[in-house]
Amino acid sequence: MTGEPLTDPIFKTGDQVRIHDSNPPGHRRTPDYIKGKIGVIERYCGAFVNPEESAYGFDGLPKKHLYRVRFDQTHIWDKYDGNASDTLDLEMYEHWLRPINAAAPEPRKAIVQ
Amino acid sequence: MSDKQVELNEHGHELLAWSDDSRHDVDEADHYVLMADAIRDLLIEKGVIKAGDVREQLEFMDSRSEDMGARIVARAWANPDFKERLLANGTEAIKEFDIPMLDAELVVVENTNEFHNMVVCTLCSCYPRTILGMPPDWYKSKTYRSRSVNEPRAVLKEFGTDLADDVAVRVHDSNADMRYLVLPLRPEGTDGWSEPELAKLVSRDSMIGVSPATEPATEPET
Amino acid sequence: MVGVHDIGGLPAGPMIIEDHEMEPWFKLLNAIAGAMRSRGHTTIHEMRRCLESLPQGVYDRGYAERWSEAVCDLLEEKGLLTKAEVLERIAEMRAAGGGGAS
Repeated sequence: MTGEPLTDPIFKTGDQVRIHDSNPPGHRRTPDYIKGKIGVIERYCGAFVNPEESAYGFDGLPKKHLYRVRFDQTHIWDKYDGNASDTLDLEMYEHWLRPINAAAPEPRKAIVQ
Repeated sequence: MSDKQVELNEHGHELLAWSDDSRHDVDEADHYVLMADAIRDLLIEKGVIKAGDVREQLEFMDSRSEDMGARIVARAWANPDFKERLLANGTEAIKEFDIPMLDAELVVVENTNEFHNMVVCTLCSCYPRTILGMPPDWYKSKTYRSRSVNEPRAVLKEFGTDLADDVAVRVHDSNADMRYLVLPLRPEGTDGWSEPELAKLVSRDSMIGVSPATEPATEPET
Repeated sequence: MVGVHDIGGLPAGPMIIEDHEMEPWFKLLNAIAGAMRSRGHTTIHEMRRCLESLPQGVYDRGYAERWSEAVCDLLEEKGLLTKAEVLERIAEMRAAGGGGAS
């Protein structure tokens, strides 16, 4: 068992992706503020042990493809005070990414006004 | 669950807040001080770890500091080939310093006249400890973790770093397996400086991206 | 439900830019956690999960304090020691006029 991913990376640098918008219980490395947001793959980082499994004592294999995804700050935050070219980068495991052309629900609305 | 207080954050999600804060009694100020000793002693007595393991870890921590990062930055300033390799693959490039990244990868992000990079870890306090040592208190604070992502310019201002409007801010939320080192702008007036001289201008904060490198006050010391 | 640790973008006060030398006891705790990982008993992901699982009030006690609590939780979960043993040992140290982070 090498633990390498079972498939090749789905995305490449420059691809647009949407972050899966969900709050499953468990250990997740996807911050809430980025869920449902659209970004661009900045680079492929390699394959890493899945923290969502490793966090519970499992081996986290096969490894998960990890990407750096870049977002426009004005897209993430409603009242962003800054330059329109300001960006934010995060690392995302492939199973949290959705191709932008796939049917996806609108970003979740806040429950309170 | 009766004592659970539900609050909503700005995204409308529940935040758990417990009024029941009963865990260990922490009425004694030395509770956690003693706890560390107690855990170590128990683990060694039970043969889970050895005293040497703890000593090794302490020595490793003592051997890591921002000086490592400063040497890397200085070499990148002085040596364009190294800089190119560093930006292309940080983990590989720093092997020539004999610095292992251990279980993370190093990504180096370069400040230019167009872009300013800044590093945070909102979910915990991930930090490139192998090249910068332990993170400062403010890096681990809830304030820095909360605000750096949505108001980086305001946070930078509070550090005394006032960016021009035409400089774009690139925030890096260090949330998984990469660790980040900011390559600050090389200060003017340092042409011909040696790597050790340059390294003295590289502050820890400049490598996290909350301040620029130190301006040379006078001629370099010899 | 968003965890206690998931705070990116939430309102917070002005930056308090402070730093101080790491307390010897917290350095020791870091070394213990490192030794547990190097011996293969735990992973950093398990450690983070234990940190995130702390009740808000405990999480808010401070960085070093929550690490202490999470280490304790994880070791108990692994069956390597119990919190009762730790508390008992602390009481013994106090009774003996305990030092701390020696």
